[in-house]
Amino acid sequence: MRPIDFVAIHWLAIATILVAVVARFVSFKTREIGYAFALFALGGIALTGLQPTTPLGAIDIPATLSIGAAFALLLAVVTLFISQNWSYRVAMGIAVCGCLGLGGLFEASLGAVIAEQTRNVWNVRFVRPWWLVLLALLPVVVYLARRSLSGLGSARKWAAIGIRCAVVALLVLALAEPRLQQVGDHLTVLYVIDRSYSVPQDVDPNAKASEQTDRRWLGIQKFVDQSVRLRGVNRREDRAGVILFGKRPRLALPPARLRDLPIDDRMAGPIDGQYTDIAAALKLALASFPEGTSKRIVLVSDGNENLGNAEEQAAIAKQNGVQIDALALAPGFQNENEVLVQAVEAPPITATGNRLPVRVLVRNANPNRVVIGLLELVRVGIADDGSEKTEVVPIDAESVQVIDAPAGKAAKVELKPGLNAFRFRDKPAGKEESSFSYRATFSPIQSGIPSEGGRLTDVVVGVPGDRVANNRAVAAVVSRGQRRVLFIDEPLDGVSPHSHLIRTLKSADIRVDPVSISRLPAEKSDFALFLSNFDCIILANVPAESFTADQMESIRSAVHDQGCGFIMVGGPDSYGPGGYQGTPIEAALPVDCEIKSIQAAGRGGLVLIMHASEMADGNKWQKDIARLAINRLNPQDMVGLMQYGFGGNGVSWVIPFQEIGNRKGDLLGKVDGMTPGDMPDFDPFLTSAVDTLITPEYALAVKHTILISDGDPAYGPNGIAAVKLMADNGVTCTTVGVATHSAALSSRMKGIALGTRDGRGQPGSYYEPKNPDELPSIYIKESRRISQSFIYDKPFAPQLRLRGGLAEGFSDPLPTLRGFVRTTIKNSPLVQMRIEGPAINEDLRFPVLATGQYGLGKSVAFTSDARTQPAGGVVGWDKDWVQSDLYKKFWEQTVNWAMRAAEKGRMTIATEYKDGRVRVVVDARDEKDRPVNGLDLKAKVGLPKQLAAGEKVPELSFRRKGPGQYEAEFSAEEAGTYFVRVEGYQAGSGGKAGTLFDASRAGVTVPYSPEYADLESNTNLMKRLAEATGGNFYTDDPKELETLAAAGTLFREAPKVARSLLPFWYWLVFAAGLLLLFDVGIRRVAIEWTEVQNSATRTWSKLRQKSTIETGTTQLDKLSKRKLEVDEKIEKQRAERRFDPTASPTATAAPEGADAYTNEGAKPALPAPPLREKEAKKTEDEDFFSRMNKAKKRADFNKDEPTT
Amino acid sequence: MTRRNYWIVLFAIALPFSATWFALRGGVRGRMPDVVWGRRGVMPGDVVRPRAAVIIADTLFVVDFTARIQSYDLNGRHTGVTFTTPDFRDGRPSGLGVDNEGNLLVCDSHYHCVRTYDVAGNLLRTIGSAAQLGYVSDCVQDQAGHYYVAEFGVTDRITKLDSAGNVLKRWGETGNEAGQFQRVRSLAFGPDGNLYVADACNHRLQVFNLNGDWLRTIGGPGDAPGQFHYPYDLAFGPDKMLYVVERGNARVQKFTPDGTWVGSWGMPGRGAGQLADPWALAVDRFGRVHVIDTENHRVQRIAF
Repeated sequence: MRPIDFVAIHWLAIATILVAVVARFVSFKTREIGYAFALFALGGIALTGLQPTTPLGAIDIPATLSIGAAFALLLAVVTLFISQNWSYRVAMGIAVCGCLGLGGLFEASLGAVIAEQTRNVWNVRFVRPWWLVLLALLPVVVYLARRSLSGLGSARKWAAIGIRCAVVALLVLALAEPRLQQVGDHLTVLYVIDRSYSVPQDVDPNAKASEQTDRRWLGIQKFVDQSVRLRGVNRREDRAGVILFGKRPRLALPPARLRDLPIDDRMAGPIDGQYTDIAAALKLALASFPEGTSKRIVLVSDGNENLGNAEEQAAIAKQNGVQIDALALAPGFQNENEVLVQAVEAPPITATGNRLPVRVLVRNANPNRVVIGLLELVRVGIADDGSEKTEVVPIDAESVQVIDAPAGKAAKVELKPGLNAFRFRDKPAGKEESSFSYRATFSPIQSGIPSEGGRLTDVVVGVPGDRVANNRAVAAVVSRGQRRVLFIDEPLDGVSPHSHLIRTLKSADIRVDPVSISRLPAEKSDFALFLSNFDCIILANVPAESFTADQMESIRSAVHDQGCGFIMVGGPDSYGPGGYQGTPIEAALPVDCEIKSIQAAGRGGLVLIMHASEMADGNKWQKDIARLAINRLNPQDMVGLMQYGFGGNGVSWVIPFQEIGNRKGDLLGKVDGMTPGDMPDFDPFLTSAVDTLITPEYALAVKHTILISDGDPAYGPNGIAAVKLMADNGVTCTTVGVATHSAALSSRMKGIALGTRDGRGQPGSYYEPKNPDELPSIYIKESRRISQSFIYDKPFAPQLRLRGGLAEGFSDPLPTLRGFVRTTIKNSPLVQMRIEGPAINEDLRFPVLATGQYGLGKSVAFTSDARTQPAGGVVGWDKDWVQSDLYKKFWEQTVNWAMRAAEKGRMTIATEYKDGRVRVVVDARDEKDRPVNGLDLKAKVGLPKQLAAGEKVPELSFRRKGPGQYEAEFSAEEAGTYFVRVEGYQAGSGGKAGTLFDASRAGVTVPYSPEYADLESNTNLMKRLAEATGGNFYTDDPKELETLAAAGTLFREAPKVARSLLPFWYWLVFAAGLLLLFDVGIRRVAIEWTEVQNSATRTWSKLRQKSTIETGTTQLDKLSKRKLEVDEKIEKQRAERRFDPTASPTATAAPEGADAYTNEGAKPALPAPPLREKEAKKTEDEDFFSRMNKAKKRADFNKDEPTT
Repeated sequence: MTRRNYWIVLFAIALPFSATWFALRGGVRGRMPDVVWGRRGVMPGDVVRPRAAVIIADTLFVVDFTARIQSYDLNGRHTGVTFTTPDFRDGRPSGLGVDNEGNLLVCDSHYHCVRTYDVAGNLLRTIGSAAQLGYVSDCVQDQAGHYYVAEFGVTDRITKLDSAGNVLKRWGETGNEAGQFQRVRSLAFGPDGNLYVADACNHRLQVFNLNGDWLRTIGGPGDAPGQFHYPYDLAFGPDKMLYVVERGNARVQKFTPDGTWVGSWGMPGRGAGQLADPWALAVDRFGRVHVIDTENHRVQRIAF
């Protein structure tokens, strides 16, 4: 411990020792008090916090001493009462132990409290300080009081004067209205630590592979721990917390008072290191500080941010009085051993007939070394059936850097230090594909330093330290729309169930590409590129679970941002029964898939059984699942949710089985609050679920259970019986294995599901999702088991509500339809109900054909089906339509209406990605190739990710750059392909809306996270953040960190935060009132110290049953002295009574006679003293003699006693 | 009165005082634990859902839901050891034991093995593999050096291995007959040298000899004295008494070795003397029971 820390902790002990030393020399009487003080101090210094561990466990020495002393004292007193014995030595021992123990217990904390309170005094502020002038009255008070109280005797007089002064001072202070300014004396330091991939690791190259550790990270861990540990005693009340961040910040440890702070990646859970968002981390830090303390952020980062703007947050931090101490990681670091494919440059629009020049830029970051490796450029197209079609593009072999260029394979190339450009020649796209992408990949073989003879020296395999993630880049090429229609359905036995419709459309000269849903590209960017080939998308009776969340979002974005047409054709697997409620596809439709309550065909009951998952985020999945399932049920359905809870057989209903009604919100809240326990066995849950669902009062038409577990609870005879009961009563159980531990456990859960049967003999399902994207589809499908009331399957006459436009020339009345899916038309001016089906009442009307505008695209909802196949004898709901003339006309007009407006090729878009921003340049020319100026350009951007809540699609505003040229920019922070569609409008005349000049699309790809593009640390940003907020700047040099931690610099004083001004004048008035009472008391009541002493002595001798007179001589001395005192007193009191100044020998300042008279008037209770004097004298005399006698009698009696 | 008399009197008075003191404490003891300690958190010494415990030489080892194994003295002061198993992404260890050398046996349930650590947290050896063992819930070693490993999950059984880790014998299967198991959670050797097994989901204890022959069953489902609801851990005290902790009934029951009920302690709840889903217990050499109060993220020490 540093001496300064010792003084800070034990200042009270030191002060006490000083007092004890002074007391030792002042007088004999105070010496014992001095000893007590010294023992107290000694206990504080030696025993504070002393807790040695013994075989019996830790023993708190000071507490044991104190309690032991108290107990011993109690025993001694009881002994005294019973046997009149008292041992001076034992008493001294007890006193010593007690003093030491109390010192150990309270010295340090008492010192801290006193110090804290003293500091508070400095924080008192006066609202009306000029009242303090009245303090000048104090001398007057003293003067007046001295005269008026002169009759009281010296001590009492001065006590009274003191009290009066205090009363006056308190009242004056109260008038000045003091307020306690509560200043946060304490500091909170939040360590905000960058865990992104751009922070270079510092691995000992000599260590074995299994023992390689990142020394940089270890150093930071040690530094954080040390800096908290060594922050100094006076900062021990300060708090520290930790935020770890990559793409998102996570509060690993909320600010708390800590002794040390060992940090660990596990504290925060998974961190996405692909991006660095310093700004978000700072924002979270600012929000995480506790109120009323000073604040400091210690930012530990390499400064390479690629999301957000840290400097903006630093400005906000500055406004909030938060300093940022920046600790730059790896300052001056340059990743020299890095090869990255910087860009693939491809012309934006394919021009027929020409070979496309494609350029690939590869950067070799090492200034000296040459890298040899394989460079491959692949053109990735998408076949009509949706599968990926790749073809290697030949390299331009004329370049000297190309060593070997075998046909159809990757070329061997040499990378010189710096940027290397390679050319490729590709043949133009075939007719059938209009959009495709180029993917360039570089794989290093070896690297070395070139020498004179062209040979490499110091050759090593590959490039050590190279990050693979950035050795790949992609460019998307989007071509002009070719008026193609994508028809998605689910083939039965390899044949599309909608082939008649497809044939009909083809006969109407519409280019239709039927694609099976299972063949669609799964990767989001691939799917988005695939969709860009088409001008209209038709979904025919495909359930929502067939799509991933990303695919649905891509479709939505293609319609909204790219202007693609969208048609959903109905059927039993579409709209509500297809589970589209709440999906992005529903957002694109002109109808909502949910319907208001209907006289149900029968209601469903769902019981969810939740088991805690061992897996990280497993419990979050469960909540998502439960939420989705509940969201998709209808109000008349019933739901219950159980989990393992402690007590009884563990079955705890988080949501008791109940009708959903309008309580969906409450139920979802309960789902959020659930904390499933680790279920020992399935049996009681399965039993409880089946018992609930088959309760006759509920009259459930559909009974279903969903069990989510990792599969390891026991499944015994009772569970098997419950499953059998389910099968017998038409209850299905679907089991979802979340992160099951083994195949055997999975098969057991599957066995539960397959053992159950619904009313029609269908078993439950088993799922084993591998990633969270699969969950929604599972639950859509599962909740579809419950909700059956969407489908209307009786013949009806559809009503044409809106003529013209799309419905131009439709026959009226329309032919009969044999069924449709009930939906709710969206309440929007952009949506029209063109054909209506049978309504239940005025409020419950259902569209058969609805159309609407969604973003740039048009969307159509046809809620009946197109499954009738005249050739195959298949009859669908539209049998009568197929046979009528309407059929071809209806579908041709509908598809043509929805399809994207033709792109004439008069506008071309060039895009360029640089430093996190995409530049879009539009070139507009008319038929004669003359630039067109004055276009009003509207653009939408399709993003590679789903938007988070509150996030906005970047808006593009174009500026004219030259004749016919327009330019705009948007920021693209995330890796992936961005699609841009621009529509140009020519200004309309006379307030009319402009006419569409042309539209065009382009794709731009951010190849990999910018995290991998950073080759050096951004130390300057760190410096700027520190400077902007008045913080310090450090680097991660181990020596510097060590001294920094030891000096406690991170916990230095920070700008104070004033919390509030607490008024406390009323307490002063209260105290003044109390003191006034004392004032009266002190003048009226005289405490005779000697008498107190005497009565104590009397009690003591009574207890000991002996006289206090031990030896004759001392007692006689005492007596004579006492007699003298009494005489004096009598004289004095007599003098007081007589008001005779001359007769008062003890009065230090004799009052003047005149004053004495005035004083008499002010003291109405004067007769009291004589009475007291008389009594006192009498009892004293009595006592004196009786005691003398008693003492004499017993003087010999106790002679053999140990002297006390 | 002589000096000697003084001390005699002092002693005579101290005696009833002390007697009253201990009597009072004993009365309170029935309900309140001696010590309640533990705080939810990830800092060393803190715990998150502690799940198993063992006492080795007056040091209490606790493994929690973050897969950390930490050491404490018998009053709950962290004595500095904090370590984790090599990997825990598939699941955390759920059982602890002690071998004949006084090393720590960590039942790495989801990695199908028992790892032996010294008391400082250094990995010494690993027994078992996914092929040999199911999910391991507990492991004990007998005088002869044989390991007995309890498994749950797909295989509800007990496997006896020699000290080198070779399988000698297996017994048990899923079911509720005698000799069958549903989720064996804990093993312990009784003073009679037999193996006592907590058959959690059958809500009973079973007693086997070391050859795996079924001897008897103690208890059955229910919440009456002597009945169980998910008995998750059992241990014998120095007084040869059997202590069983139940998750379902949130209590600890005390039995004589032959299964006669002696008493019980605890009830569901969050306060001192109340338990939330207790998973485990350990008995120290003073006969004090350390109950792992899992969902309260703490340990309660009682003597009863």
